[in-house]
Amino acid sequence: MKLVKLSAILGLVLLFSGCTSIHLKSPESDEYKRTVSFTAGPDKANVYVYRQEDDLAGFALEIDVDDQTVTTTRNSFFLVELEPGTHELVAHIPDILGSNGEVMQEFEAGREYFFEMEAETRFFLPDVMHLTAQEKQAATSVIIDNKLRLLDLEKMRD
Amino acid sequence: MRQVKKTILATGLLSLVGCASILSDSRYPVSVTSSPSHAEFKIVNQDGRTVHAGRTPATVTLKGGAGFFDGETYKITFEKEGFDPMIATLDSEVDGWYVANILFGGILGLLIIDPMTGAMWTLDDEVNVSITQNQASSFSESRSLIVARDSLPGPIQDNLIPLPSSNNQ
Repeated sequence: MKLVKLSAILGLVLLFSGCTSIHLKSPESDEYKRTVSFTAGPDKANVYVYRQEDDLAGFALEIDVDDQTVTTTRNSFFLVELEPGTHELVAHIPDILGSNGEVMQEFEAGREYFFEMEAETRFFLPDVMHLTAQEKQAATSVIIDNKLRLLDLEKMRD
Repeated sequence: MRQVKKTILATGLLSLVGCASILSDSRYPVSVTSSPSHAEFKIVNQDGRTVHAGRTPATVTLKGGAGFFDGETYKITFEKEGFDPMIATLDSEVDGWYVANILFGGILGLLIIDPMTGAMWTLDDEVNVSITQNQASSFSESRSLIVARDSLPGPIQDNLIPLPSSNNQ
């Protein structure tokens, strides 16, 4: 019984202790300024995903945009430019229990889409990952007012 | 014997969670409305962070707690062109289920679990404000403004046209 308890504790510790590198763009950079103009090009759909303080604010959490995995941290956001068409976003809950936040929808060229990613816990265990579509005005207010940090996806790929 | 073990295990788990954590939420849907509608609103928490923004009417989900034994206070600013800006405050209150820790949930639920999860707090489910038209807008809408003739510049006085009236001399 003691062994089971130890394994469970070890499992939980390992679950939350992955080494993750998160790179951020400087707010002074041209890319940051271009990103916060929140304007999509004519041929692409701009998808912005942001994360504020949430129940797992201390943890790096992953989200898949089709085949690309992005590691997020609290008070951060990122932009992916997608080809028009159907795409899938899956925000993973870091536990075998609980449920992921998932969105599969059509994205149109020349439009901006905003999603808030938020982790919710219950009884201190990861429970639900929310991935909620937000209006442009709401999302841009949160990103700009709270000075959310821009994730550097290029460096994360390296 | 197995039944006894299960009961002990269940009781043990229940003793680890607070009453409000079991029976209540720590996040609440709040309906934000204004009269007239279509006002821009922004919700800022007590740390000064913008947690939501949008246009009335809308429903947002807000946390009841801001930290250990700390309820949240939100300031909601409403703005609409031609109307005076208005600020409403939304304060969390102690959830009735929190008191039930006295019956079950126990001291852990009362002093640690519910205060930590934020489940000890609850929020009103509606914020509704009436915003008032500002004066400049009222004048421009009714297209009338009363001023003393002598207070107007000379060229404007010269171009004034008297209104027809039975008492006009």
